[in-house]
Amino acid sequence: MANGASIQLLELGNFCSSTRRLKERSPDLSRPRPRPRRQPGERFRAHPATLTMVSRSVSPGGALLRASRMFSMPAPLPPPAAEAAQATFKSHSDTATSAYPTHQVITTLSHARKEGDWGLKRPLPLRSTTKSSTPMLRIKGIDTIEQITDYASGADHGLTLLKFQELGLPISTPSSFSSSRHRTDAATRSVFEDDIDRTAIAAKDRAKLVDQRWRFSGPWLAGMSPGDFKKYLAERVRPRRAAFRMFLKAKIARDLNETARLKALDNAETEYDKVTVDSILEDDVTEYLRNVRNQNAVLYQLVGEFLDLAPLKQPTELTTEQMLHPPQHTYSTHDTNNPYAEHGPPKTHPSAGLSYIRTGAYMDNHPLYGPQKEHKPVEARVLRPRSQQSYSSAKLGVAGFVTETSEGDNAHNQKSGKSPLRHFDPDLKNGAKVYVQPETASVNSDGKLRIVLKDSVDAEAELVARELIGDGEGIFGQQRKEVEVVSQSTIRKSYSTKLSQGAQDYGLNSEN
Amino acid sequence: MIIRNFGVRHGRQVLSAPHSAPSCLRLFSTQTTTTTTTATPVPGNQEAVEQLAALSATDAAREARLAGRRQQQEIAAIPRNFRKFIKYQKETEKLGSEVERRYLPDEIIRNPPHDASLEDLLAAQCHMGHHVSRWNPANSRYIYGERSDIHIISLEQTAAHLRRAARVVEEVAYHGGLILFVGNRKGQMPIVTRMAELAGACHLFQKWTPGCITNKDVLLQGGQLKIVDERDRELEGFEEHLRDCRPVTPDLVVCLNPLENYALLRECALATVPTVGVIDTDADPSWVTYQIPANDDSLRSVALIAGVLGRAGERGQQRRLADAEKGVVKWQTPKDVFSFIGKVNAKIRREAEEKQENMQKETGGLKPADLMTEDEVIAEMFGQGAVPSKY
Repeated sequence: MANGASIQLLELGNFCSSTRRLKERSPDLSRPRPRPRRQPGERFRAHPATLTMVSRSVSPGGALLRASRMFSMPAPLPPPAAEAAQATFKSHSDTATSAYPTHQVITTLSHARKEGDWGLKRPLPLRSTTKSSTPMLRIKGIDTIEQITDYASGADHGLTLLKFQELGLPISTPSSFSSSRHRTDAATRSVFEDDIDRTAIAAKDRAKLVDQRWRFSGPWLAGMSPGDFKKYLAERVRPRRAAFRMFLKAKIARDLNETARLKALDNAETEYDKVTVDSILEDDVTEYLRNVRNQNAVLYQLVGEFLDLAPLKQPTELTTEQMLHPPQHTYSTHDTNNPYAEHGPPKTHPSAGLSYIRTGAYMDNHPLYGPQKEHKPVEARVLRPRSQQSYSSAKLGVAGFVTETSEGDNAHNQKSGKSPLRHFDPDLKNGAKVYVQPETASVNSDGKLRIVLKDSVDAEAELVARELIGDGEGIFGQQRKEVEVVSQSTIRKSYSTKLSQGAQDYGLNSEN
Repeated sequence: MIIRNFGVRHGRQVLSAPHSAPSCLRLFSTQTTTTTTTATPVPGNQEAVEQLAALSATDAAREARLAGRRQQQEIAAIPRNFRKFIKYQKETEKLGSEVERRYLPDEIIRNPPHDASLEDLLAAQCHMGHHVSRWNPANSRYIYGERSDIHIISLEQTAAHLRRAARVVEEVAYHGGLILFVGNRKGQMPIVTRMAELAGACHLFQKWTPGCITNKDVLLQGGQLKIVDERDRELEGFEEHLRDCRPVTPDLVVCLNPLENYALLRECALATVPTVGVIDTDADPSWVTYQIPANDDSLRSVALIAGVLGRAGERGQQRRLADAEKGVVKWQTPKDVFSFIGKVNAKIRREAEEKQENMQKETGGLKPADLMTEDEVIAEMFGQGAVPSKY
């Protein structure tokens, strides 16, 4: 379970943005016109009758609508690819939480919720929306052909977001390893660092600043299936042959000019004959292409620049197949430092909207003990203990995400004692739980979250965390206080004495 | 406890009562400290006990005197303490923050606005039409565009049409017309009743019985009616007319959900009764005379539109009554009531003439005015029952 898209809790209930003067317009009774087709990616289409009325500036009502919360709802994301494929198999569960949320989660005010008012087309049924203690919904359709509002609970991802935010973890760039068993170096970078989070880049600088980007208009070739690749070639690449030749002409002209400039510099001349793009012949381009075909790196660079392909890098981690049959040839690409080159760029912003903090280097403060060295450890659910036979790590559920204990010589893997990470106890009510210390979190290109845990949990930090929730013995050996059962008459008595004291405090007796 | 908030939280108590040190400590701690004293028996012999008893008797007398004096002092201190209490209350009443409730869902029904701004309409979800596949092309003039597969109704159109409809309702109320508010979807009952209450109109929140206009003589037979004057006071003397007259039809029908009330709107069209209707993108705007393009599914949207119309009706009624006080009446007595009044007047005149003839016969020469009181003479001169009246 992981989050890939941003979920924010939006209140659609009571929205008013700006105050503008009302300008009335008489209804335009225009003739019926052919309606333009909706372009891919276009979300709002003006009605033809409106098109005739609206000039360049938008009407006051239109401006209000554009700023409204309904219009700020993002378009739903495509469902996770793995789930779509799994849907055909029996192992797929209908009730499983998807790997990332596809719809925006909305909520409403408590007063409005009692009326069924969620800011939508019609009030939602009270029976299914008022009883939940987590009022979060995802709206699949504001109105459908059946004249109903299509909605479902959004509490799964909404609560996951809240739980993750409670961890206080920053999102870092993805590591070379896909599994959370491998702890990477502590030096992780936040996805919000300026040198890897640039989106507003001029077209001419795109190729130069490839290492600072995460959004590319072209695909990541290593992640494409052969079918997708063929389709991409046929539909998107082939129609652009002429444009590519023009691109090459510009490149050849640039190279020739550069050579000429250097030669002139060597001869101590200031002037040299500049070559224009128009003077490059088609034959020159063909000849250049023939030369370049044998130089993989150069060709990839040219094609990558032209199609704005996401950068590629040889994976550090070898798959089982690669270990058994090592690849004969490795095609060298140019070296890239882009953190998304190895496992592909993310679909959304690499933080996925889960966390906006840039670093985990802050101190937790305890009300009594003061600043703490370690962050507060969290309780994790043991989903599957460590298996002796397959040498697989234990699976843990941390804040709603599945993670694994790290490999190697660490506290999780010690054989001494009866750790719930090694032994399954069927008698334990609600399952086994252990305290863990999350270290880093990153989102991969599939939208799944990878949480890496620290090798061990600081015993003192665990004790403090336990004490805060009143669990077990405290630091000073205090037992957890049991809740006393107090009778109603005792409560009434205590209130009556308090009231009489209060009257005295207000100076209503003679002594003051 | 956060110390910087101490002054805000306990300012009133601190200002009103000078605390002793323990009571200040009490403010910091959350635990209660109760000390109870229990009577401990004094061990000793009988004599000592008797001596003690004698001593305590004199003490008791002195205690009683003291207690009496103390009581008097306490009573004397009451007005002084009360004045002090009022003074402190006045000084401290401005402390602290005011909790303001910004949004209450039923506020729009309890206190509807006189006019709806574009922001109000947007907040009340008036702009959300139906799924694009359900649209009625006749509504294309009201549609601003489409978004999330629904049509978006132009807020300007809604505001302009709502104002026009409000004007219609106001003028009909001003001219003494009978208005009927209809909203028979689930949840519309409080809206419809409140708006009818405001506009002094009738309401319908259940099914419209088909034929109540076109077949009213049969269906509404025996319904209660009353004749009122220009100040809405009920008039007497019309019992005979009320027994014989036909049931009334409304002069304006405001329909909040035209789709479910086709029969009503059709009857209104046949009887040339103007109608005002909330037209969503799937409704046919030609069913009603005055369209208000807006979302008719959201209760909030309907409450806002009905609220503006109810307020308009209220304004019309107020204007009508204010003009009536000045003697300006902008409406006419219905024809049947007018003819009934004429008939009654003629009858009275005829009876008076007969009476006069009879008296002339009996008295032989004396004029009837000689036999009448002054009031009767005045009534004879100015006529009886010629008071303007209406339903």
